[in-house]
Formats: sequence, structure tokens, C-alpha cells
Amino acid sequence: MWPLIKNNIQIILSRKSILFLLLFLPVILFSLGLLNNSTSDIRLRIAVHDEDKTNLSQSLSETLARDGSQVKDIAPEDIENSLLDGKEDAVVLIPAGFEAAFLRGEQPEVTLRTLKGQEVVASLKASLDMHLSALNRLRDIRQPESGAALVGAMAEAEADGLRFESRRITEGNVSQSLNFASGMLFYVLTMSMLQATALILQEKHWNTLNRVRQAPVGKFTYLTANFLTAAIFLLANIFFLFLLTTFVMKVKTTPAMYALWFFYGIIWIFFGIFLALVVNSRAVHASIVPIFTTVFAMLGGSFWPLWLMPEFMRKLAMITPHYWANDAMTLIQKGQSLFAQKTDLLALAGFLLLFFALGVFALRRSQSVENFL
Amino acid sequence: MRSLQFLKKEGLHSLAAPETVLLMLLFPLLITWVLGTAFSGISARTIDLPEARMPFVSDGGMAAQLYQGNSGHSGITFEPVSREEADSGLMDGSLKQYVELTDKALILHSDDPQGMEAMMVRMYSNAFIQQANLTGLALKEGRLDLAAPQFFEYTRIEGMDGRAEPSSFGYYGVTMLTMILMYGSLQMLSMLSQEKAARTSLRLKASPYAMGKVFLVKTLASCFILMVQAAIIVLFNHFVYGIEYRNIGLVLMMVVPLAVFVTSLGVLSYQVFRTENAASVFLNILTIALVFLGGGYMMVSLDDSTFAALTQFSPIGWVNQGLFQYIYRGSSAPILWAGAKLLGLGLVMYLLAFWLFKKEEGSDRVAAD
Repeated sequence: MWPLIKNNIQIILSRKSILFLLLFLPVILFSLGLLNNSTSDIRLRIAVHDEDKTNLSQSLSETLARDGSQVKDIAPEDIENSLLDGKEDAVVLIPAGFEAAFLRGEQPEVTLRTLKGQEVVASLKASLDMHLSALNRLRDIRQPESGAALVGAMAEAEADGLRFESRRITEGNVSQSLNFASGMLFYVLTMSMLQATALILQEKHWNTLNRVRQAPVGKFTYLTANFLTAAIFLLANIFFLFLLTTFVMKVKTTPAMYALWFFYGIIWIFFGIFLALVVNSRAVHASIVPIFTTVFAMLGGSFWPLWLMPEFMRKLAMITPHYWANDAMTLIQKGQSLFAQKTDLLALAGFLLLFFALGVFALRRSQSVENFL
Repeated sequence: MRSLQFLKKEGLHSLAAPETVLLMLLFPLLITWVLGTAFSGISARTIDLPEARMPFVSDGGMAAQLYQGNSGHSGITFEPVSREEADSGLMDGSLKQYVELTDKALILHSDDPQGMEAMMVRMYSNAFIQQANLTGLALKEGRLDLAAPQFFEYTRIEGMDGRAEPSSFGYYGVTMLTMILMYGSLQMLSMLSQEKAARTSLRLKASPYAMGKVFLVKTLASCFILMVQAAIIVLFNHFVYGIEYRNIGLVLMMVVPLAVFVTSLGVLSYQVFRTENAASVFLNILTIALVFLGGGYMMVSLDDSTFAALTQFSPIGWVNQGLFQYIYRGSSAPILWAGAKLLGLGLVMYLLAFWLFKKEEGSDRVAAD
């Protein structure tokens, strides 16, 4: 067994392209992923053009800001270009005389200007309508003399009443950078493990088939050696990542994360062996791998957050190991145990068993080592 | 005549190669579908309202019913669950966030309080709380006639036409086309190396057909096949995905300089790196970097300054921006300028590769022998 593994390692070490893919690309992409500073914060960018400039009109801006939106004033001549250039999601236009009309019991209109098709503005409209409807009711209850009194009465009513709170479910903070880096790692690990197990196909291409035929090696031994070779490079990857996150780009990682990355790599080693057994041509293998790895990584949320995708695509994402691995990574960052929340672990174990079973099935279909080569 | 026969041979080789169909055709079509569908809710300017479903824990009282009942305006559907169901969902990971109504507060339990659904809940809940508090105030003031929540429409949405922008399919219909054209450099590489791999290089050398012509015909064949592949992708995108290209014939003409550029890049890489593997690694990395810088993977605005700065460094970005400007703004100057630059660069690289080839013609080290 060991001579086979040693031979495989020597072959890989002598080929710069595979070596780069197996050892350096995972570290490079993970590092680039860590540089990503994006956040998952969603804020509507709202500009307000207030021609009324009264207490009531100003309270509308405060209400919008309280909801978490970014609110700023805008000059009328800038409105169109700001919307067309995407600098603002919506512009609120408050007409002169708004407060006076409101206090008289009329129903003055606020205009919400936006681009056609900007659906998220529907939430904004509902929020403003409900706020102004509440002020309308308060005006009827309290009969205030001025806008300032009305706004003051609303603050008073809110002080002792029901309030809105946001609470975290778990204590751990999820780093978007680490999530993105891990997603990139899942992508590149898939690719590199499929390349590592492609050594089975390379034997044929390099005309070393006869040597394998003459050697006293069983087919399971041969495949186990290939599996262990890929696992050794996977371990090396994990070790380099440990060095990177501990000494170079300091990020809070846990043993569970390394275990997850390792477990994920093992899943793809099994799939790689299956693929190498069923695909006969190196060219077909080389064409399938980028298609498979890229599409699965995109679907599984390795490149962008899943909420960006429509509902059915999010459901479709569940057929990829990437989806469960990314979810498990988030759970680990939240400080939860994968053994307590078993779904992700079970799903990943299911993929592992499936790929292992496919490999065994493919191997049984072939009668000998010579056949599968 | 011999050149035509050689061209035919190269064409047949390419048709028989699995990467011609799998990587150069199936891959871009599949990726366009995945990316186009994944980002169908997002254009460069607008974000669709997601179908927000939020588990809701309450005592089922009047306030809870009002909270659920009025949420339709905000696009949120609250789904009542018991406390036990919520706890169990949190334990098994099937429940990521929920809203709880108690005597004192409306509580959003979430680890993603800045996400889209959380924002929608926050906006609606703040407005609802005002109404709920006023009900308490009305009862306290003895105004039973004003105890029920009211809802009037004060806000009018005024939608304005945006500039013509690509949809997600429109965007990736262009960027995946240029991405796959970029992979044409690898196809060129494979064409050059196949004679060595198939051990027909000696036969070619011994034939009366000049090696210089072999070099020329191979590059011509690669360019031609690449354009055929581009035409298939564009036609499929147009008729199956409904992607508009303004004028398909002109768009195909506009990407010819890119095909020349990538073919020259493939030839030069092979001559410089000497082996297919080394050149392949270099071209793969370069392709990913140029496509990324050119906005091939992520959908970005046509007017975004950061993106505009990045695309200056990528020939793919020049072509992408030029095609967008032509298709959606009707301006052909950017794509013509990009084409001129690419043809210039392509010609320089091709001449350099040919000089390297001629320099060592006949030796075993020459890459394309």
C-alpha cells in the first residue's frame, strides 16, 4: 500500500499544475475570500425632499431612519439622476402645507418616487401609510393644536406601550468574510479532490497501465491507495489553512471548522473515485469537472448568499453538498454543535454514503483493475 | 487546396473532442441558466420583494390576530407556531428566525437581524406597534369609537422608467459568451498540442506541407470554430432564453476581435511555456482573473465607478461594457474601440508567437511541432 501512495505523491509533486491546484489554490482562494468585507446588512437608501419642513414632516424622516433605512435630504434637481444611477432606492416627496392639511383632518398625499419594478418600496409604502394612519387616529383622540404636539403625543404613547425588540438566537457572531472564504474553499476543495482522484485516469494516459497490471496489487488496495493519497493532500490543505488563519490572516477558527472542511473533502474524494471509474476519457473528465464544480458551488451558495435567489432555486440548492456544508459553517460560527443540530451532518453523511455506494457499484460493474483502467 | 483539407481536418478534430461540446457549449448555456435564474429577482437597479414567511409565536389574542391580519400590505405572511414547535425547529435547524408577541414587546428572534426579511418585519412591526399603542390610549381616554386600528392610504408610488438595463439573463447572456470566448485560448492550446499527443507531428514534418502553414491554418481553424461556437450560444440564448442582442449578426461581428485576441493568447502561451500543462495552468488562472475583473461573474451596474475602474484592466471587461452599451444604449463606439485594441494586441501576440515558432522550427523544443 505505502509504495503505491508514495508513487502517487511523487507523481503529483512532479506535476506543477496539479500541485498548484491541490496545495496552493485552496489557500489562495481562502485568503482572497477573507479579504471580502461585504456584510449582509440590508438598508433601503431613501432620500427625502421636504418642502413642508414642519415637525410632522420631519417625523416621517425619523420614522424611516428608525426602521433601519439610510435617510438623507435631496435637492429636487438631483432626484431623477439619483434614482436612475441607483444611488437611491426611493425618494419621498413631502409637499408644502402637509402638516397643516393633516391637522385639518384632510388626507394630504406623500409621493414615493422610485424606478418601475422596485418592489421593496411596497414595504416602505405600507410602513408610511400605517404610521400616518396612526397619527391620524391620535389626532382624533388628543385633538392637538400643532404638529409638534401631535408628534410629542405619539412619543408619549410609545413610551409606555408595546415596543419592538430584536434578539439573537445564538451568541456567536457570524463573520461574512469567513463564510465567503469557506464557501470558496468548498468550491476549490471539490475541484482539487476530483483532480487528486483523477490519477486513476492518468495511469492510462501515461501508459503505466502495464506496470499496475503486473504488480501484485488488488483493485481495492489500488483504490484505497488513491483515496489515502487524496486524503493526505487534503490534510496538508487543512494544515496550511491552520497556519494561515493562526499566523498570517488571523481569524477565529475552531476545530469543528477544520473537521468540517476535512469531512467535506472526504465526500468529494469518494465522488472523484466514482467519476474516475465511470468516465473513460481524460478529456471528458477535464470537461465535466469545471461544469460540475462551478454549477454546484453557485447553486449551493458558495459564491453569494442564498437569499438572493428565488424560492425554488433555494430548494434546488439542497441537492448540493455545498448547501449543507455552508449551512454547517454558519452554525459552527454561531457556536452550535453539529451533533445537536443534526440536519447538516446527516445530509453530509448521506452524500458521503451515496458517493461511496456509487463508487462500490461502479467498481463491481468492472471485473478487474484492468477493466476499470 | 491542402490548406483547406488541413482546415477540414482541424474542424473534424474539434467536433470529435468532448470539450468542444461539453466545455465550450454546454457549460456556458448551463451557467447562463443558473446565474440568470439565481439573480432573476435582481437587476442592476431594483430588488424584488421576496416571499417572506415568518413563524409567529403568540397567545392568539386580538393583538396577535391584528398583527397577522394587517401584514399583507407589507408582503409578509406570519405563520402561527406554538412555543414548543419553535423550540423544536430551533433545535433541529429547520427554523432560522421567528417573531414573538408578548404583553410588552414584539420580538424578532434572529441571527440575521440586518437581512431582508428582518428589515421587512422591522418596518411593519414599528408601524403596527404605533397602532396597537393607540388602541390602548383610545380605551384609556374612553374613545371606544377610535379603539379599532385604522388604515388609510397617504402614500402614492410614482414609478419612473429606468434606463434600458439588462435583466439577469440579458447580463449573463453577454458575460458568459465572452467568458467562453476567453476559454477559446485553451481550445487553441489543445489544437496545437494534439499533434504531439497523437504522435502525428513527425508525419507533418515529413510532409511537403510547410510547418509555417500548419501554424497559420491551426490558428485560423481555432478562430473559426470559436466563432461557430459563439454563434450557437448566441442563437440558443436568443431563441431559448429570450435574450435580446439588438442585432445578432453585428454582435457576432463585434466579438471577432476577441476571438482573434484569445487565439493569439493561446498560441503565444504555448510557445512561451513550451508544455501544454504549464500553458494550461497559466491560461486558466488568467481567464478566471480577467473574467472576474470584467464583471463576468457578478451582476453590476453599467455606471458603477468601482466596476468601471476594474474593467479598465480586463479585455473581457472592455468587450462586456462595449456590448452592453451597444445592446442597451445603442452606442457602438465603445465596442469598436475595444475591438481595435484587441485586434492590435492580438496581432502583436500572434507575430511574437510566430517569431518564436520560426526561430526553433524543426527542433523538438518548438511547441507546435
